[in-house]
Amino acid sequence: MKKRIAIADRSDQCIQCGICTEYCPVVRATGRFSGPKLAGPDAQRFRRPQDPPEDLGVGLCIGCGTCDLVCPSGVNISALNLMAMAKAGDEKGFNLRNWLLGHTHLFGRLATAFSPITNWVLGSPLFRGVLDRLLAIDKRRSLPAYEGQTFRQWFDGHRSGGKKRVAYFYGCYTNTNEVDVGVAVVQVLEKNGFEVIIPRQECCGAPLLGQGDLEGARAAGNRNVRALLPVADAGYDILFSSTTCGQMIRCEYPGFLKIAGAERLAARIFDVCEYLMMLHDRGELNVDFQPRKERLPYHVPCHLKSMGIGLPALDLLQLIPGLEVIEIDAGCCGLGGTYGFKKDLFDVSATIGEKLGKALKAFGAPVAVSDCEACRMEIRTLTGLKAVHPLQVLRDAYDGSHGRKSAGDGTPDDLRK
Amino acid sequence: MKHDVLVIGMGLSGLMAAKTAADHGLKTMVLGKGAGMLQAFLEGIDLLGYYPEDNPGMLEGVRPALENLIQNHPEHPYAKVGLEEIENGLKAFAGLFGTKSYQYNGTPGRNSLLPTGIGSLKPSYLIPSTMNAGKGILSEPALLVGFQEFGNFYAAYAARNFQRLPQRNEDLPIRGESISLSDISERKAFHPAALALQFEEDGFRKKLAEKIKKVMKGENLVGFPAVLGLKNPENVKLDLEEQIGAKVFELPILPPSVPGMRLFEIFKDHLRAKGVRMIFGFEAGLAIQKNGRCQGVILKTPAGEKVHEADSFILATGGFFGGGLQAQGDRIVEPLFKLPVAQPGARSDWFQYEFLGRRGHPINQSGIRTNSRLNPLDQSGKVLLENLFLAGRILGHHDALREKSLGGVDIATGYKAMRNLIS
Amino acid sequence: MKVKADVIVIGGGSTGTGIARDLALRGLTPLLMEKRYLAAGATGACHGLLHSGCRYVIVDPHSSRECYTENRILRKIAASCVEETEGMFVSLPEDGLEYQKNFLSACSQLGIPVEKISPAQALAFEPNLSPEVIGAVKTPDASINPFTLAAENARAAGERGGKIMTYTRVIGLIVIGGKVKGVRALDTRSGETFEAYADFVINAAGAWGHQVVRNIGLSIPLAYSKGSILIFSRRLTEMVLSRCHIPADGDIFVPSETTSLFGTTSLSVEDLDHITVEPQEVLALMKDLVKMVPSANSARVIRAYTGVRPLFKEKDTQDDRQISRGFVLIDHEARDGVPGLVSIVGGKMATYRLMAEKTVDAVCQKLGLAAPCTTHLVPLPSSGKHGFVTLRERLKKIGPGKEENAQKDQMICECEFITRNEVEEFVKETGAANLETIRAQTRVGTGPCQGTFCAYRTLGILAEMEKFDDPSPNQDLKNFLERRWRGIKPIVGGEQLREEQLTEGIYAGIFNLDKDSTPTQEAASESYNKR
Repeated sequence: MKKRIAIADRSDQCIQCGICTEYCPVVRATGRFSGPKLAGPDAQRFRRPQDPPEDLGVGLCIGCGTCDLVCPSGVNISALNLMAMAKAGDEKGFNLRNWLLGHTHLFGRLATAFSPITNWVLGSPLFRGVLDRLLAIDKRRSLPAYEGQTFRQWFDGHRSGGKKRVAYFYGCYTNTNEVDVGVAVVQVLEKNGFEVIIPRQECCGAPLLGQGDLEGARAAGNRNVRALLPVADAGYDILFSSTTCGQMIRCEYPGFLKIAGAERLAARIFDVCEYLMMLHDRGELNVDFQPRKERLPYHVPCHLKSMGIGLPALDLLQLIPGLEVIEIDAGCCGLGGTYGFKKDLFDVSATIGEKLGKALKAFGAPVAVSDCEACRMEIRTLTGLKAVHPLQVLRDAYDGSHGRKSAGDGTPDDLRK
Repeated sequence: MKHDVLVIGMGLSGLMAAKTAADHGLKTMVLGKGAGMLQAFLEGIDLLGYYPEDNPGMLEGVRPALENLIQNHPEHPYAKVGLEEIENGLKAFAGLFGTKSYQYNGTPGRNSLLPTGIGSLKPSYLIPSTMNAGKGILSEPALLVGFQEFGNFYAAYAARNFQRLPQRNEDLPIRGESISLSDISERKAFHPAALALQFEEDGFRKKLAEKIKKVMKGENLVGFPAVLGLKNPENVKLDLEEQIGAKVFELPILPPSVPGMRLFEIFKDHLRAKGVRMIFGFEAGLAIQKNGRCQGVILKTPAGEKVHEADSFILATGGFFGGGLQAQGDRIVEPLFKLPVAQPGARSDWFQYEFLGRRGHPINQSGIRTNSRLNPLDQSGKVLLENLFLAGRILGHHDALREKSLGGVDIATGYKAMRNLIS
Repeated sequence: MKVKADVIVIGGGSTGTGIARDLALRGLTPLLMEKRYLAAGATGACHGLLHSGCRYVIVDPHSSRECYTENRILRKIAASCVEETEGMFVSLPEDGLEYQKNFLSACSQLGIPVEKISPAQALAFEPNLSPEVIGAVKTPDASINPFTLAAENARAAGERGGKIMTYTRVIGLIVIGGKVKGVRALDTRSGETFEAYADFVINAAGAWGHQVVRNIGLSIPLAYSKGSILIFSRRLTEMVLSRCHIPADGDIFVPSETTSLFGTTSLSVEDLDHITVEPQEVLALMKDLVKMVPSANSARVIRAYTGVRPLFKEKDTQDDRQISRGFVLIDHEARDGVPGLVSIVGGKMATYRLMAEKTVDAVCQKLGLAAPCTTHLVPLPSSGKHGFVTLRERLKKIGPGKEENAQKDQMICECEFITRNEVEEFVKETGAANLETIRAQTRVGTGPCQGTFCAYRTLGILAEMEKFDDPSPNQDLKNFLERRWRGIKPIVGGEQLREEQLTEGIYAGIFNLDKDSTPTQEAASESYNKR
């Protein structure tokens, strides 16, 4: 039996109110999951270190963290579920599909190097059928397209300048699939007098954690903390644009994974919108925005809710004259990172995201805004709309290029045009 | 960013305070630790069901008792609000629903009898429109419908008990049927909220209505557990009524409460539309106090601690359930501001010998003493913080569960606390 | 109504049911009457400890050896009720090691197999044990479920033609021609009285033994010693932990299913019908417990219960603990000149089988039957293996999410993972359609929320099965809530306080049960508070 660092067990605090189970998007979508209460604090009473894992459907937990937010008793429900998932994974052993989904960053660079071929293959129904049969990656799931040039490559060819310096943690998806998000971040920061530096970094490990590969996640975390801490110690604030990476580094590294040095790092790492709002509070934000008369929907990523920093993107975008950004409160998008790719979970994923899809379609705008790349992917799938990061909107407002077609904000079909 | 008002607590009293602030145009922020009484117990809005609280006779007309209470119990939250502002608060609450079909209804000045899922009756003041027709259970034959896969309501049990109610003619038929949903539910999900969502699907309702029609025996009144939809419950009810050809109502059942969850969403929608920022799911740490004023509140999140500042504050953190009051060993404390808590003398006095006896438990009266403006007082009666106002359960000096004022106290004090703050 | 049997047994605890089984195995037809549910008396309020006998090696060697022999027997025949946790007698600094020395040699003399281990080894076995431990001895103690034990014994009797009547209170003995010929009984559910006749009557009514014989002018002098026990919401140890010192209060910690039981106290009481756990008992128990298991300080207590040890007063003594826990068989023909009746008093649950054997031996002699006892050889009916069932095992059959039968598989008691199917099957099999019995035998309602949700669900299911006869609306529910409260009020605080806010919020806030006009029967009547 694998020995792991113990997590706090607050299941004794559960008073059985059942509210977590009611708000769980998976429980609302399917009877296959016993629910966060049964699989978490209820089961915890029975779990002894020497016992084999039980089957309460923890694999169906999407990791949205809603249960933790609603619990009136302070039980760390999702953490208990995650530990159970890890234990079940120990027993099931190595799974190629899950390994691939957790290590997409490994072949990301290769994929971009041959992006036209990659995208053609990933878009091909035949290939997706093969993936479906061999690896149980649902063929109905559209796979993300790869760009021709990575963000890193773009940045290497770019000269950043400014009076102040700030570090940027861009995240895998920005690097290989949504380069313009990273570009927009850099441009906006430069517009505010910053020189952007890119410290050594690698995948934050969120796809690994989400599947219960705690060791893999911790290893990635250790490497990242070792790389980033000196940067923070040298006086740089570090910014992230992906709320998933952000939640991982700021919350899970010091919390669940207990990575040494992570707490110190967490004090110096910020969501880019949060950071810009902090500037605004000090009167230092460049608010020279071109007016944009439009109504846009904003979807709040689950990981942003879990950080408890409010909605800085919304606050930020409301500074653009004429722009009305409306928070769509329709719950989890359903992708859950790697969750919705899995054949056995595809239908649950689709049901969970139904509400958001309907709300966005009813809203009637051609583009939706969200800080999380997975949410953006899912929004495109659910609605066919364009999905952009708040900073892309901000960048466009600085240079007046509203609504122009940015590379990487479309589906694989878009890219092939 | 500094707000005009920071409301600590996202229960009914905090939400009501925030609504009042937002409607007045104040820049408002709300912090909530998690779900609470609202999602657990709230069904109808109870104003006052019994007075005195151990008098077993249900109040029909509420006004005289309220006046008595206000006069004889100056520490009761209603006394701090006053009859007129209680009524204004309830009107403001009703304004939440606008022209929406789902409303909270009642007869002005009078309680209604709300039939419950265990076959009992409870006096309530404002009842969700989807529960309205339940009043007919005392005078008409009725059918109660439960679901085989649903463990929070048992129609046969409830029907037996309704039958034997002294207020009901024993010969008036009432029965319970348990319908299976497995063959009509695609997602096979049977928890209350999951059911409520399925009730909003046309296909589900159609198939269910057909099953119900088969077991009806000419009843004109059909009762369901309170799971008739999350977002559009009135539409669900109307459609069911049309399809089965009888009046439909829902009954309060074991927690969590779908009506309470609905109300939470309705409040949030209203606040969101008014630009109120809400951070939900995290516990506030110590408040920052200086020179008799509150300056800010620390919010403890996994992403670190952050101070939220405002000009004025509302403390609506609830009681033991929500965490506004905590039992630490032998003492009851208020954790955020360390306000002195009025409480029974000794721990042995906290609870009665009987659980549901005539008298309520003294511990449920514990809370913070305030002045007439709902500012907290110290032991000597001096105002501790002039820009802090209290609302809801944390005020203590009443037993909402026994006198049936759950919801009423929250709305009245949430409203009044903010009105005091504004003035 | 008149009922006939070979032997009437009064009392459905471990003794009474053990006697019924023994009688049945010897070819007699017993009729057992229990005024509440099986094991509702001292049996149900015991510590759940299958003694190794080690506790008494110094103070009562005879009793000790008896216990050990029975321990071996019960492990074999009652495997479905026993969890073989083994035990440890631990020495803390204040105990010194002198007692341990004598303890070891006494065990050796009595032939009880024990093993001295190092403090480090003890901590390896039990990480929650106090790091201050200075010595430990492994002993053959075990955990036993008294409810299933009584039920299994009763079932064994039933399978051989015996009849078991619960909720039947004996209200008088019938004497004809100076001989006890039967009993007059009251069906407490229907209110009807009836007479039952037999060739012999055995009074195994435990603490109520005196009340049974009173009406014919006999007396059984009993001293009542109350013992209170705390229940924790989870298993804090895997083995039985005892203090290695002269037996005292608060020195035994027993794992029991998903909970831990810690006790006990020893206070003499006069009135059987009004016994509660007092705050000072709880304080004293907690003080003692944290010496052995420091982390118990922050653990969650979900209930406290108390039971009465009926001790036969041979001579007047002050200290209840000093009155022997051995049992006494009173032959009323010899002692009082009233044939046809024996009373069995005192004893420990762990030696119930031996008590039954001695009793039935005597009765058979009186009846002129030469049937030998076989209860030590024949296993109890259930073939299940008892013990802590891992969640995986428990779910194997019922698997939530398997969607096979969403109705049957739904969890009725989520704390203890008990499905609707299990409850329905139990009711169908035993005919027991009341909360108390269902709770005692299936563990519905014994978890942290203490039945807040599942009590109503169970009653609802009974109503749907049409096996439910509530005398007035929500009577059973109200009675249940009051009985439940007896066990919680003494320990309410911390998380359990918030639990009670939820419970009161539901039943007073949502359902208005506090203003219900139905009187609560439990409020005034006996407050015998069970596990």
